[in-house]
Order: sequence, then structure tokens, then C-alpha cells
Amino acid sequence: MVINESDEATVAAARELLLTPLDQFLTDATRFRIMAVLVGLPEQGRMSFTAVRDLLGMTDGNLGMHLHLLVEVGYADVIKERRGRRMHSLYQATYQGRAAFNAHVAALEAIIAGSRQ
Amino acid sequence: MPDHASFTGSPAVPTPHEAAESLAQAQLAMQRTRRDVAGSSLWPHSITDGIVWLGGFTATQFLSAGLAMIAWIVVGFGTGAVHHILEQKQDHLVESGWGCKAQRIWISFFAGMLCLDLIINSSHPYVVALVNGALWGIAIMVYAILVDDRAHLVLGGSILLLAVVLHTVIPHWSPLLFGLIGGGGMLLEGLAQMWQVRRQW
Repeated sequence: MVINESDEATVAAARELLLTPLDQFLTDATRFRIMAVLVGLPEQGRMSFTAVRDLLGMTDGNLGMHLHLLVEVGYADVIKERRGRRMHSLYQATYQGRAAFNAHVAALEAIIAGSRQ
Repeated sequence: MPDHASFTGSPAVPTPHEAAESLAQAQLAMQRTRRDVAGSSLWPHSITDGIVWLGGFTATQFLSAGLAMIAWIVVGFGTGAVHHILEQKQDHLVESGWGCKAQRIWISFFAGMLCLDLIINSSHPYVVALVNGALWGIAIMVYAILVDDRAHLVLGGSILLLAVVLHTVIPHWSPLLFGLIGGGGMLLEGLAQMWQVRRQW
């Protein structure tokens, strides 16, 4: 059996896909976008719940649910701060969250690259 | 509310089209975040600094040195208090993480500027005012580089250039013109960035 170059390229793409697994928490498109916002902040940057909601155009309940999960699995941190009379919840991506996001991006890119073979 | 224990097994593999769509959405979200960070961190200061400059440099042009100094202090503290109150009321908070370091940078810069004023000690108050304005332009440029804000980088460079040009071409009217063009420019730029950031909301 002759294996030509295009077959080898397809096998290589498939191998790469298997080695870069999708993140089970970030396959949800909404959660992936929320992580993109947090990863888009500088390393020590933080964003309030209201700012994330406004930027993504989400409802309070929907955003709260996803952020709660991301904090639970350790992809995001929440810091509660009082400013004046108000209590604000400020979110930032953790090191683990940034790594998971980057790995998930690599997995998606592998899927796209594999389809082009 | 789902908990992470309910996530078992391998996630469904998206199609290449779905993967491309997800990546595009994520990239857009990241771009908007970066724009929000840059805009949110500087536009309030541009607006208040613009108002301070309009008042302060006008005072420098028309009042004696002593009265002009009082005018600067009054306008500066008054605008600072308004800025602080507005910050307390804000819900849409985006922090670059430079917060504490930025405060120290600005305080150090301000102290350095006062020391420089004592060294210059010029009989022409407009020279001191223009030097302060030029230094402020440099500070804006440095901070803009730190937070990756091109609009403020251009603004800071323009302020610096304006100080040089006015001092060379129209020295005796330079404080007023500097206040109007520099301060007015900062105010407009701050309002434009505020509008752009809020439009995203």
C-alpha cells in the first residue's frame, strides 16, 4: 500500500487533534467568550461583573451562572471590594484559566487545520 | 445551577465551521476588552485634566503668579473631588492592574514637577507653566505606552509639540493658547473615548 503525502498530512493533523483535547468547560460558546474577556485583560487586570455583562450583552442571571462555574473550577477568581457605598465583584482569569483557554484555542485551531488537509 | 461534577466524559467535537466561529467570537471579545481597558483607564483623567488646564492656564495668562497658583489649586482640587465622586458611582469597572503603580508614578511625577519649578524659578510664569505642560505631555505618553493606548500616546506627543511651538512662535500668549488647545484637546479626547467605551455597553 502506498501512503502518499496528503495521507501523511491528514494523519499528522489527526494526531495533533488527539493530542490537543478540547476543554470540557470551555466547549460552551458563552463560557469560552467570557474566558476570552478575562484573558484579554492584562495579567493583573480585573473587570467588574457589570463590565463583563455590558461587554458581552448578557443578562445578569446567565452571566452569573457561567462565572460561578468558572470560579468553581478555578479558571477565574472573584474579589469583592467596597468602593464608597457599593460592593463590587471583580473578576480576573487565573493562571490555570489562561492555560486552559490557550489549550482550548489550540484545539480549535487543530480542528480547523485538520479540515484543510 | 450546574456544578463541575456534572461535566463527565469527553466534550462533543465542534465542526470546523463551529470552531472557526468560536475563535472569531473569542477574538472579538478579547479585542473589545483591550479597547475597554485602554479607554476606561484614561478617559476620566483626560476630561478632568482638560478642565483643569482650561481654567489653570487661563488664570496663568491673566492673573498674577500668586493668584494663578490659587486658581490652579482650586480648580485642581475641585475637579479631583468631582472625579473621585464619579468614580465611586461607576459600575462598569475595568482595571489594567497598573492601579497602585500608576498612582505612585503620577505622585512621583507631580512631586518632580514641583521641584523642577523651584529650580527653573523663572521671572516669566508662562515659562514655568509651559514646562509643566510639556512634562505632563511626556507623562501621558509614558502612561499610554504602559496601558497600550495609541490615542493618548498621540495626545501626549501633541501636547509636548504644542508647548514647543507656542513657546517659539507666540511666547506671550502661550499659556492661554496652551490651555485652550491642550486642555480643550484633552477634554474632547476624553469625551470621545468615554462615548466610544459607553457605546460598547
